[in-house]
Amino acid sequence: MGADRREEIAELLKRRLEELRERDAARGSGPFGSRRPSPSHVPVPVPVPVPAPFPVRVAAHSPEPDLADLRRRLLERAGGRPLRDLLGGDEVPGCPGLFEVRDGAPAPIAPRPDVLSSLAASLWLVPGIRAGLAAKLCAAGFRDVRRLCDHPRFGPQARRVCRAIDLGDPYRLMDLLATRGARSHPLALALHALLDPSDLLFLDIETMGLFGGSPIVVAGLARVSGDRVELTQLVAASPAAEPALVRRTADAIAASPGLVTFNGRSFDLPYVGLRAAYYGAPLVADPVHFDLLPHSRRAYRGRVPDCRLDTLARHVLGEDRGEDVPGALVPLLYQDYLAAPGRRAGLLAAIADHNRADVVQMVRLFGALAGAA
Amino acid sequence: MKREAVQEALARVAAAPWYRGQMASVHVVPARTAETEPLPDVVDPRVAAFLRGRGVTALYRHQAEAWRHVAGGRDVVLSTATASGKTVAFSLPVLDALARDPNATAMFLYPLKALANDQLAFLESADLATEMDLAPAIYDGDTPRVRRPRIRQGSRVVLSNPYEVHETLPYHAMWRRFFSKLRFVVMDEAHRYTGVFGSNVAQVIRRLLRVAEAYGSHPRMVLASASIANPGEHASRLTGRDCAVVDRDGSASGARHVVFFDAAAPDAGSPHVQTRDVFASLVRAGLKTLCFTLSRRTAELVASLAMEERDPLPVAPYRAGYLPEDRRRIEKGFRDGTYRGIVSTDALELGIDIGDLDAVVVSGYPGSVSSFWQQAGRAGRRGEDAVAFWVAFEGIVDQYLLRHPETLLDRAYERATIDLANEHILAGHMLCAASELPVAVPDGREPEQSVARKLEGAGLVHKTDYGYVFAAPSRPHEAVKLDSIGNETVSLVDAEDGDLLETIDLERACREAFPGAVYLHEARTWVVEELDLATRIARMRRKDVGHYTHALSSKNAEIVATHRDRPAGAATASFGRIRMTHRVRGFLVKRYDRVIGGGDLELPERRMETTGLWIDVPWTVLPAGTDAGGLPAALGALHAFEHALVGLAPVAISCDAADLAGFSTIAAPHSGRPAVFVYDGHEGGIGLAERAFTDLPRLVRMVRDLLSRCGCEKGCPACCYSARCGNDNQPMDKAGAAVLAGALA
Repeated sequence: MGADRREEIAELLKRRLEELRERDAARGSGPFGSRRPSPSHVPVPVPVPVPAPFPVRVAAHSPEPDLADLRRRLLERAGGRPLRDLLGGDEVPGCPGLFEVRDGAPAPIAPRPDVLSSLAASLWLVPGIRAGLAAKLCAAGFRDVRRLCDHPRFGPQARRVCRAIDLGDPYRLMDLLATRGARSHPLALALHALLDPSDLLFLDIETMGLFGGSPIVVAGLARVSGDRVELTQLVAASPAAEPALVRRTADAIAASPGLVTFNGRSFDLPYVGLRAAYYGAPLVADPVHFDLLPHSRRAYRGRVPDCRLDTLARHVLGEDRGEDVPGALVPLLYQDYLAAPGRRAGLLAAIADHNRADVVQMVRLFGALAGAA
Repeated sequence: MKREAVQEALARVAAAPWYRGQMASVHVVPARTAETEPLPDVVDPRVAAFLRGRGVTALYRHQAEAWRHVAGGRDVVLSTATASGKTVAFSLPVLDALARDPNATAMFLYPLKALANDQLAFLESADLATEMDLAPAIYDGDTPRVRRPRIRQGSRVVLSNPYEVHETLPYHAMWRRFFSKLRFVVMDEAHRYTGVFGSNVAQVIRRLLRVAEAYGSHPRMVLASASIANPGEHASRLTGRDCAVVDRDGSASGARHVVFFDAAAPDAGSPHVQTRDVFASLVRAGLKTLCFTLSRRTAELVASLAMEERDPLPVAPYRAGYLPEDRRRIEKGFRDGTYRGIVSTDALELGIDIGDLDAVVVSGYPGSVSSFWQQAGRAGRRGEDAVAFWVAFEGIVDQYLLRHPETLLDRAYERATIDLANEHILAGHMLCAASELPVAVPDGREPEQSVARKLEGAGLVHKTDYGYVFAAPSRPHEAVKLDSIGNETVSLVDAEDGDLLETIDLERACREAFPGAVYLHEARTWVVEELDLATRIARMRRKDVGHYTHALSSKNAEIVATHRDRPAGAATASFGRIRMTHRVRGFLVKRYDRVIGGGDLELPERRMETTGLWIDVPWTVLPAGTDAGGLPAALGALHAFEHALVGLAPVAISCDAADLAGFSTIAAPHSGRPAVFVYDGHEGGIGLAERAFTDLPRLVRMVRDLLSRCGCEKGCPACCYSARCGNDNQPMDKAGAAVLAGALA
């Protein structure tokens, strides 16, 4: 078969994939909720003092903002500088194409509540006891789970719960909360207090697609240290660098007792798992996972137009990102960048900036939510 | 039933007031005694006990052979008749292996859902009896999301289909446990993986085995197929493995009386009413009868006709669309005698246990010899005689088979075709594979290397140290459909409520779903209101109409490359790549055979590059001068010959009638002279025209016989009319075509 014919076939497939992408973009609002502003929303009182009033960005109504315009602006801003300069980081020795960028930013310290006492006071943790019954038992003098340990009906279960609380193992306690349908209960988030702050890994990834068959392009990994967040970003200047990116990310996850993400249960963690398996090194880690999305929904529902991270940052933290690459455009921008990586480094740098903003704001959101617990 | 009872039943039909001499011939397929062997001693005792509990105390020869091959480390393909115990044959080695290794897993694949349900029931009872913790489960599009994690994490036997495997492979990380110990992949109904579908499935299987390999498994392939002419070749093309063939059927069967019944006989009336008549006659004679029809609507029609009789019959219609509880109720009723007859589409063909039948009526030709036998073969209690009526409709293939019963009687007649060279298919699957695991193409391996490079050039994959990695937004799996090549399809939508009725390819949509077209969907008429080529949606409305429409189109064929040629009598035949252009330019409105109206259409020209054969016909074997309509007489002869050639090809080379198309002209672009083209109706070709080229002498002889023996004057649906003709079957010169065929044979 002629070379032309093969090219046609490849182009046909490419066109078909683009059609599918457009169809998906036009269809969905995704897991974060509607892009349209809700008719009556009341701004949430901001727990952290706002330094200065930021202009509220007008929400774009079109599902896909003008890509060509964005490209042009990003490339202009980059001014043709090389990727290394734009990122402010170097290639990792031995891993060609993989850039490591380190940075830091202020982040208010997350409150550390006395979660064990709160858990002990939550009678509904005991299987068989629901909110109504819990109230009755409490009124009858069973003020915490320990007092239920000798209860004729709930004794054995209560003893099991007490053991878990006494052990103070966040993993087991998270499981317990999950079985009680309370995975997004503030107490679940409060479990972070049982871990050392340095044990928590904050993770956010940027990918070339949504379904796990496309490469990860940026992995943002962060830890808090006092009132600062220390961020490490792994940037794949080409898919050839992805295996190393995935390995390091997987190693970081495996080494961390706790993981904080935004929608990471559905997306980030399984995605890293799929990519790790793709390169033949399955991810076996299973840290305690604090996914801020369900917690945010529960805490802010009805008071914010949607639960996108940047929206929450605006309303809850009072931060506006200004010009930022919309997450939905990352795949296209990266694809565009790959077509001419030498000249379009600005596109990848903008993706890295977006990721940086995501991670930092996620850390700050964590502080805000943990405080509300 | 006894032989005398069969004779009585036939006599009843012949004596019926509606009978018009339609019984063209009766053939007896002789009875066969069972060849058995004892159950091997080495079979795990729990499995042996389970089988004995089901009445399996010995193995048929083919079941034992399959067992031995698997035990000897070979992949196997079983190619025996329906109801010959294939389930036991392939389940035995699998259950035994799963008994020995408590972590081992197995996958069962089915082309259609109904069979999977039966197999699940069987495996569940095996699980119950042997307590092996198999947790068998169906995992497909209908499996509720909440159940999926459990199946992934705990089932040792998973039943699924190629579509689901295709979609699920990228998530193999979630199936790690299952793939790490995958010991068997069983593919039942393997003969159905033919043509475009089969060629795509062959690639899906290769992707599946590649993933299994990545988890350290090298599963054994066990295939079960109806009788076909090329089981070993087919199995190896489907799986990439060298499979041992087991095709000697050791099961017992009674003698089968096959009656060829011509529904196109003069004064006989509607073929569906005739079907009802035969069916009713058999049921009245006290015979438990199953009647198969080509469409759901026809099944309901025949059943209701049967129930309408002055003496209503205890019969029921049955089809896959019914709710499971209704289907179970009908099956049970049939088993216990509440119903004495069932009219069904091929849902029942697929192995549901309804007890033994005395008689089967197959109404119309189900599209393949193996399908015919899967239906007809259901008749017969063990060791006793049975009768099968085949009701032939008008139409080239039916009438040909009627006159050449040996074709239908030769069970292993069909060849299954799989094309491993179609680069559209290869490119699509390579793209999917690249998103599952990096694709490493060995140096110099063609066409894979070139395909990969072109995909890279299009920016879809990226070459890395691990191999080619998929690097684009969106899922390639959605762009690759298993039932078609290329990706241009049109959705047929109900204009009333927006429901999706059907998805057909663009070419067919231009031909059959143009604005104003009367479209047949599930044997009901719909009128197309709009065909939007930008969004690829055709809106149509349910309407009973007294007319039908027929597209008029013009075609042209250019030769891109000639691969081979051979003499064909007085002419030369060649095979190679051609470029077809096709434009639908208008349509006719007809009532019965009369043209009552028409219109012009503005539809774009379609281009397709595919493989095809062409015959350069010398003027000397064509009629000279002009015909009654003023057109060159040669045109009519070429046209009729082309139709007969394309019409008979499905029988000659075992393909779907829709997969091949033809074109004839007196001034072909490549020569300026007469030529007849037969080409694959799918982009890139799928090996059918090639097969026709290899078999051309036989095919031409079949055409010659058909045309010279047909009793019609100038042409008819039995010899050279085609429902798809873009010129409304004009001009048509049967006699000229017969002479032409004779000269080419």
